[in-house]
Amino acid sequence: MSEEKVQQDTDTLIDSLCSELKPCCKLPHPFWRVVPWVLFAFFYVIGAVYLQGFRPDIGSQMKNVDFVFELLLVAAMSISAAFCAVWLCIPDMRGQTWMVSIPFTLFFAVLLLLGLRAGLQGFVMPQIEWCFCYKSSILYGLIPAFTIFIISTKGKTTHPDLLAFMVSLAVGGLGYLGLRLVCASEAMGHILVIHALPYLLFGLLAALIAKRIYRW
Amino acid sequence: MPLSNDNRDIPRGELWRDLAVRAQKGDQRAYAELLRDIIPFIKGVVAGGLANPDWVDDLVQDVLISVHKSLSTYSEDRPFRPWLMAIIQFRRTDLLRKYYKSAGNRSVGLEDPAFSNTHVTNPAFSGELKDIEAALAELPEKQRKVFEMIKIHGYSAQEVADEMGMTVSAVKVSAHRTMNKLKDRLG
Repeated sequence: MSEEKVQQDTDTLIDSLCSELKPCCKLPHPFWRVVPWVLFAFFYVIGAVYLQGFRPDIGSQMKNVDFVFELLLVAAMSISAAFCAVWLCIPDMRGQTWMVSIPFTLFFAVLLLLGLRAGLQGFVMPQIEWCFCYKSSILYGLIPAFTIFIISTKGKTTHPDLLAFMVSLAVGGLGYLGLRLVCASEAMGHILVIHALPYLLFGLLAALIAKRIYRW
Repeated sequence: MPLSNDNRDIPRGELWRDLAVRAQKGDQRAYAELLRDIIPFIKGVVAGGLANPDWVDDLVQDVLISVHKSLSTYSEDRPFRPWLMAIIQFRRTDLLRKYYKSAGNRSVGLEDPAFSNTHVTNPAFSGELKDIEAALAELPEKQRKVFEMIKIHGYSAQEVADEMGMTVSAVKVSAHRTMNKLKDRLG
């Protein structure tokens, strides 16, 4: 294509883009977009757990430092992933690219914690069958996932796979928290395979199809 | 408000920020000025990193469309250039990914004499592109000679016709048929 033709094409494109231009609603600051979701999602999960009923030993477990530490770690991972996801909706992340390292670090810390516990307690493969925990996973995950997905599609991301993974980490962390509050099982096989794995697989799947989800 | 003729003293970053903010409010004139003004910057960023110079213009147009689609995500409290850079890098990566995913980078233009001279007939590359060599070896002697003289050594059809004692049109038909045969053979 000749230089002149290319220039003409570019000029035509610019004219066309300009004619399409309408006053646009600026995207609010990511902080104000993510905080309502975090509050909503946490209250939603706590509400759902309350309706389903807390695990019978919740009183003694809340005095268990390991259990509380695990919950806090997962909550921190989930919140930081939600923040990161909303920042990722801006092409340059408002210059805060370092944010990505926080949920990843916390995610690996959670994996390490669960891995160590599985190593110490022993891992027994649970029976894979449709059970209460799967239903609860869907209950805790579905609405928060849908709402954060809607929020994340409002922006334009330059890292679709990372954004999808962060969304999954935020939702998965919340769901895991809910499951730990209702399910009394402390068997690591059950926790890893029934509680954590479905969310993890969902996250990987979301990351794989992210480019189709977050199209420009 | 800066317009085309009175913005020479304003640093580019500030000018773009101002134009982008006005574009967000629906100012088409500012928007056109912004899009035209960022083109040399985009070209400057992408030109060095692309193997094919023809892609630059495609990429510029892709970036302009992306800027249009994501204009609402720009915030005036942030500099414009990093925001634009992120879009440029994203579009460039996207283009390269598509290119490497397609078979385009693996096909070889047999009609390119420069490539044929360095890769097909040069003994230094005899270990490479064995498929092409094998396909050429399978051709009848006369057909291969015509093809090599025209497509590899760069002789004109007239010169080959004189050398081989053929008509010019017969030489052209032979070279064309050989090319099609090789394309079929090599996919």
